[in-house]
Amino acid sequence: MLARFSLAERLARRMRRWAISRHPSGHHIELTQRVIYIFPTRAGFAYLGVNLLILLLAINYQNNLAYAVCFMLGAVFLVSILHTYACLSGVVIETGRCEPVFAGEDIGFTYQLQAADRRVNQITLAIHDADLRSVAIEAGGSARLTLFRPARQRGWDEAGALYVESRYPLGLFRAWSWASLQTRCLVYPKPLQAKLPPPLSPAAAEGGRPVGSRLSGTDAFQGLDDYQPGDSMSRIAWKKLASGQGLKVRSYTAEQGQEFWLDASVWPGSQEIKLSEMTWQALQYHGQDQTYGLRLGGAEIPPDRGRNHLDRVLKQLALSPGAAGGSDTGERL
Amino acid sequence: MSLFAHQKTVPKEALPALNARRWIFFSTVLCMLPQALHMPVWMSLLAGGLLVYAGLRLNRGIAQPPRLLKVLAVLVVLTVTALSILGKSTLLGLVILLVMANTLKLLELRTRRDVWVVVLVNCFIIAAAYLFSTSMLSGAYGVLSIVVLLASLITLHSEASSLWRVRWQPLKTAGLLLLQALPLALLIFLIFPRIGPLWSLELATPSARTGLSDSLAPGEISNLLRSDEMAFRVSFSGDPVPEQRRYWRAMTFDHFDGQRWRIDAAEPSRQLPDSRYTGDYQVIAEPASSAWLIALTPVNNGTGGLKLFPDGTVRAPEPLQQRFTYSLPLQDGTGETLSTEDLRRYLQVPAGNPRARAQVDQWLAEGLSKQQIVAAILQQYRQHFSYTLSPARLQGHRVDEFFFATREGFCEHFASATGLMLRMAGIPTRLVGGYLGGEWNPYSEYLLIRQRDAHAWVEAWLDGRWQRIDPTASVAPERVMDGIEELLQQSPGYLADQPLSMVRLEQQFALLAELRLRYQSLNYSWHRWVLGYDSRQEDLLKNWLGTLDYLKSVLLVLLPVTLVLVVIGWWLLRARPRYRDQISLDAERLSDRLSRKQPALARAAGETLQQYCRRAAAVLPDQADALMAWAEAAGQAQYDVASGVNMKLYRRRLKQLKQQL
Repeated sequence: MLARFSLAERLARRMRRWAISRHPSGHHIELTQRVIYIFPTRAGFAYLGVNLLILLLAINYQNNLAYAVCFMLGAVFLVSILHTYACLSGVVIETGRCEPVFAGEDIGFTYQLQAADRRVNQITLAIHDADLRSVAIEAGGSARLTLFRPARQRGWDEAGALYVESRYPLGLFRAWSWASLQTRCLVYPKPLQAKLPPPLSPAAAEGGRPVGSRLSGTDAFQGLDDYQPGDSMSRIAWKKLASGQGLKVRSYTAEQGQEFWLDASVWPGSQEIKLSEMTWQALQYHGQDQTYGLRLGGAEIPPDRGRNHLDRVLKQLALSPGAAGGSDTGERL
Repeated sequence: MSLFAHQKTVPKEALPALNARRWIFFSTVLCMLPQALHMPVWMSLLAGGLLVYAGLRLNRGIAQPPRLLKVLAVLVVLTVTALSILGKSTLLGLVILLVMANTLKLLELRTRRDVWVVVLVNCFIIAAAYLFSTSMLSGAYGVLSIVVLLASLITLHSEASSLWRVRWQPLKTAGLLLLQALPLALLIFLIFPRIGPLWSLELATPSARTGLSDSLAPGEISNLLRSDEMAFRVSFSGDPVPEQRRYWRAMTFDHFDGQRWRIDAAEPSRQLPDSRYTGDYQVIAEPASSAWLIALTPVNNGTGGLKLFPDGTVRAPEPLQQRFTYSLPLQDGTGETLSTEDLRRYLQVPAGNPRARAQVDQWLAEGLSKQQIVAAILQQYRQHFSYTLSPARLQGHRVDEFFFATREGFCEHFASATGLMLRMAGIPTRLVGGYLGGEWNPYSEYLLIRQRDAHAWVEAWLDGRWQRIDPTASVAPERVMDGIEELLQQSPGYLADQPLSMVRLEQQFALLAELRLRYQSLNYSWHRWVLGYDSRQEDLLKNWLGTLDYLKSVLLVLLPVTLVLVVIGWWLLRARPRYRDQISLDAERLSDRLSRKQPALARAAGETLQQYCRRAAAVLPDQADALMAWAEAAGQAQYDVASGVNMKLYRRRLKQLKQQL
């Protein structure tokens, strides 16, 4: 594997590791001289090359104005080091909240940037495999940036080191830093529709309905309730909303005492497939506003309904130990 | 992700933002515009047409021309450029090529990398433009070009957000950048060692430059008399010489063929060693067609590299392609002697002009001395001749015709006739070509000699030395005293082709004359200190710093550069108070620190600083006092942001808290 990398790349990786290890990780970092690196860009080197040509021109034609252009551009080169550096210096970066996503979707890692007492004209943020974002910030102001990246697998997904750079004003220099900010995002298993109906939970088999029997169309429409946060989007009465009667949700009667159990011990299939199918099923129940519980490994979440319950269930599914290596510690760097 | 992998973070494929594209286009046009003066007209038109298309494309987002068309355009432009370069100097050819290539690149500008190519070529073009013109105006134009170029780079590398709606912001930033770079640039300019050319290059095709030519026939100088062009500028170490003595010798003519005076023997007697020399007067010669330099007196000493001739004239080491500065002494004579060979040369008389010979023979028969013959000739001039710039054409025996028939003319006619007749009388004579007078600029204390000051007079060997005889002075003494300008103003033909000449305007507005002198003075300083700085550098540095050794010169560069950079760095990074932000930042740090010990001690969203501190104090009774004191100080500081009085207390409390934790 290592053979694939050139020496320069390996050096660069080592340098990056070293740079990241130089400052403690946390939820915010202030870019100071300790962590800002600066180096000419390729354009900067080309600029120097052209400057050298101009110098040759001046020497050969003994032209003082050509000398002046050469020295002027050279001095601008030197001064722009400071400007580029100043662009990053004093910027404080904090991690923001990250909304959980399903595997395969894009995670948005959010960062809050606080400028120092001078304007940041251009600052670019990037994490591995993510798109990059540039932003300008007023002096003392702040900006929020979200970098999107495909979620790799269920469990905690780390953003990894954050790369920060600026090339303002002339692009001759690149000032950059790596911030090892603690940013992680919960990734739920990828929902997967089961080919078979959900199996019967032995625990629930005695009373009530068979677990997971299809409910399509069997519920009776009862009436409209006021919308509560956490209510399923699928229950919103859009027509009522459009006619100006406010946000209402349709409520259905489910037969009392009917509880559904997502029980891993009876669910067929391999571990990951099972988790994905249970996720899909949990979403189904949530969409139908059913009461459902989860039995997974040793853990049991009693039947309930609503958004928070769904999140708990999905989190449990996401962090379930398995072949995918989704670790529930989430604290690794 | 590697060190260089993140060069990729700025996507190369993306077309730069609209405002960046506009700036790039504008700056490129600005940089290339002066080149249109040097390029063949039809090349300029071609480039202009392509630029209009490029401008439309970059502004309106018109699609790129189809590939085939692009290839065709490149081929056409390259062929055309190659054709037009033929016969031009290398440099002009290079500049034309760069301009055309840049135009094409602008046409298919797509990525950030393309922009950089255009910008770098622009940099080179700005510098190369100075090889064609070094006037103050060009200097100012170059600065403007650089500012706009930097502004275009700034727009390219700023986040194109609402912050950059301000139209002039990039220009302001670029100006600031340039201003900060100026001290550094000036410093390097002053101390960078000026070395000779690394390899020799011809600047341009030898163009028809004005100036004295290497032969002299009546009627020739009259062309120069219409030229306002600057020829030489002279500054004196002591007092300037009086007006009557301002005869600037350039070359002497010893051979006359009946029509023209030529330089027959022009072997330099010696070349001055390559050393610096500070004479009584310093001359800055403008580029000219010949290498002859002017001198007030016969020369036997001066700046290194000059070629000295036996007749006391000087030549530059090579033709004056560029401005040339030299110093000479004021001296009484070089003790020149006449050999038999010299006698033969200076007494050479062509056949012809029988009436002049008869007149001279008659004077000799009357027993006139040499001095008397000179006086007789001048007497003739005074009585019967008039000075005019539009004399009748001379044919046949030219001296006869002039002396006995037309009796009007200017310096060449008088000098030529005098020279011939003195030779006929056995007096060794030579014609001198040069300049007379000059305009004194009181502001910069230098004498400006223009082409129209060109003059010709005679030197005759009398009493064992060469004596200057100016026959024109007998006819028109005001030519000597007031300069050619006064005289010409009365002449009907003068400046007929320049109806709006400054000279004419200045007759009516004294202020204009004043302004012109001021401008010339500024221009002189420009030439002396900027364009001609090379010749001054060594003296200047020596005056300031004494002798330079290696260590000293390194320090000389490093110290000021470091100092300037430190000052700019301080200015850029200096901390300004930002109390409110500082407090919330401190609070976050505290929250981070405490939550590492106990996760419950993280500051909750919406919790005020005071609430948070109270909660933390309950958990950490040991630090409770410090926490509450800090919270109180923070509260006070927040209500008093402007004066910052409570900030001191706040910092003290924060320090105490940190020590306790």
